[in-house]
Amino acid sequence: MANTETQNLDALLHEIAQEQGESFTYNRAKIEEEAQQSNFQLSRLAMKVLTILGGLLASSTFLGFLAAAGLYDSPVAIAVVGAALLVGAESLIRSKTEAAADSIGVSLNIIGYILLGMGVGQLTDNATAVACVLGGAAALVVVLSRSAICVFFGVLVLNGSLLGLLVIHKIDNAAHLHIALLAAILTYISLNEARLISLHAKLNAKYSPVLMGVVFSLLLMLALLVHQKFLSTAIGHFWISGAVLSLCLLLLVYSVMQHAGIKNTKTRVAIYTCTVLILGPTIVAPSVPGALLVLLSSFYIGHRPGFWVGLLALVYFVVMYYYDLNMTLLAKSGVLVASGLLFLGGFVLLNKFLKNDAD
Amino acid sequence: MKGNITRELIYTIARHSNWQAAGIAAKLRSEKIHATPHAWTSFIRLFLLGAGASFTLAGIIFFFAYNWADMHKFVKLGLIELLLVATTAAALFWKGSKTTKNMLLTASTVLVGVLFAVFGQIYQTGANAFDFFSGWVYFVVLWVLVANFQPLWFIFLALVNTTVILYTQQVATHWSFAAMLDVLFILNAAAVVVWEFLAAKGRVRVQHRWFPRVVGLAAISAITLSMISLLFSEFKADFGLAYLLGVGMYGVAIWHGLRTKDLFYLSAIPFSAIIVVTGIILRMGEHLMEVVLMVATLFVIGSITLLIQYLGKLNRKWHGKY
Repeated sequence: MANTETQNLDALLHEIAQEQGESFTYNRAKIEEEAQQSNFQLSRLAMKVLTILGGLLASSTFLGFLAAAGLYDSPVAIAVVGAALLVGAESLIRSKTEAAADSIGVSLNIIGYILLGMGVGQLTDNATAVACVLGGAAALVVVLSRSAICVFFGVLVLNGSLLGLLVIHKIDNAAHLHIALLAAILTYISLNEARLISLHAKLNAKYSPVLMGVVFSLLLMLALLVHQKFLSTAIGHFWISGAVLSLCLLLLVYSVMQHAGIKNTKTRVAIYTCTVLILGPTIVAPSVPGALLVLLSSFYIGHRPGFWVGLLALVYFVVMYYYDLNMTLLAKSGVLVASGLLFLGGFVLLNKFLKNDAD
Repeated sequence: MKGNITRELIYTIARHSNWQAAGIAAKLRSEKIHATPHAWTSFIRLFLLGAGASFTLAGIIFFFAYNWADMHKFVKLGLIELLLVATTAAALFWKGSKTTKNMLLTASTVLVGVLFAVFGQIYQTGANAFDFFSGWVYFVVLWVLVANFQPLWFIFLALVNTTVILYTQQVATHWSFAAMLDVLFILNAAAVVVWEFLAAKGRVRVQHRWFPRVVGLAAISAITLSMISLLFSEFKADFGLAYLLGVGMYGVAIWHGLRTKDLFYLSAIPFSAIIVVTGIILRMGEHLMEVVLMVATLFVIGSITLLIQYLGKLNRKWHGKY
């Protein structure tokens, strides 16, 4: 079986060389080594879940140790230990290549964030300082770390820090800027996967964890819009986020049509019209177009975890949309049946169109 | 060559070569890693059909909800009974695919619960939640056995688990928390054992491993929680049955995981053991918390590291090496 895989790899490299010409150069030994490792970790999900759960368990017992040892009495010590652990985690991950080093590194990374935040908080008694320090540390981890899980957590912590700054300074409506930024990043990296992974080896390695981090961060921000009581925010002007998310969706639709080779103007206009009709009523409920953006962008690039997370989020946000509608049950019933019949009508029309196209 | 080219392989080659973006994009499309026009068409058709059916059904339910208070009790019961009869008759006599008939029977199973709930609401029989769920279980068990449909079995197991929990809360209130968890473990573990036995005989499709994984996780969680709770309560809570069941489960599951080369059991079971041993360490060193917590941390990090190393070696062994 191993020899077949070598032959397949050779055939693929030969194929690429033929397409690209003589300028194609590659490091065969490295490619083969990494391909082997990738094959040998077929159940990577089990490894990643074990790593994260183990990291969380180790973090809680270590934090308990620090509390019992009285380390929390010295904020300087906590902050220094926290920063040292973040650096130590990265050193360990870089010095060893086994997945085991990753698991220890992730544990140290999580503990590092918690201790750094606690130390800075106790030292300065200033929530803004905590958010800035954690955000800065997370940004450094995202840029410098070689561990995919640490980069993923780094993106979450960075976005959490930005959100924290908005809530602390009560600039709630700046959340729309945050959402717009996340939506723009998600759309860009989904539509430019090939370009980004070919630019630089480091960008290549960080693509997947950053994508997953952005997906979770965007969905968390959208959940905050629906459940504002959670952080006592008063975000208004929902149409701003709704408009940006709808624009990103239209851009995605444009890209899909380009790649599918749909050149007929009438067909394009019909598709855009249907998209606008579906998105129109949800412009003031940006969680729905947001979840739809996650779902469709993940489907576009074949990213299964993002697809399922987006689908679950879409179902949840649609339910919350109708729950929060300020209408009687009878009016909601009418709206739901009308929407349902519209979708079924769309299904029938699409079938007819495909049948005519086939004929 | 198709099917061997994964996203990871494309990323690996891109990382260690000067492969141009256009070539990578073309390869992602040609290997169907990126959605093809056919995939988009299928997805949009399924989305429109699913959304259309769900929204229309929800609208009809909301209509009845609006008029519910003013409806006569016979109309309320009659409507649900009519739906129940219609779905069951369709499951029996309609000449559709087996999956569609099983889904109709699943809908009938859910409607039985709805009927009992409405009956209890109208007549205020004084029945508690345990009576409701146990009645629901008795009335659908034959359908579940006959259909032999995994999603239906899953719903049935959820009902039985709920019935057991309510039994200990409302009837057998003298049962300890650990004893309840032991019963839940036995129930769910038995379901997994039966599934694996049938899978070995070729009677279930092994592509659908979601069932033993979800139910297996429930069983492992129950027994792990039971073992932990016993550490902090009296021995006579269940006379150590949890440990007996736990050790038995560890042995059988690891043997089965090694035999069938299934990493799920070989990951979940050791993690359960790590949690239990961590709990034992913390319990034993109650009076020396600083030392014990440090020992626990080192134990967790060390054991997870060794486990991942071992799983990596096992995977290499199973899939050959150069």
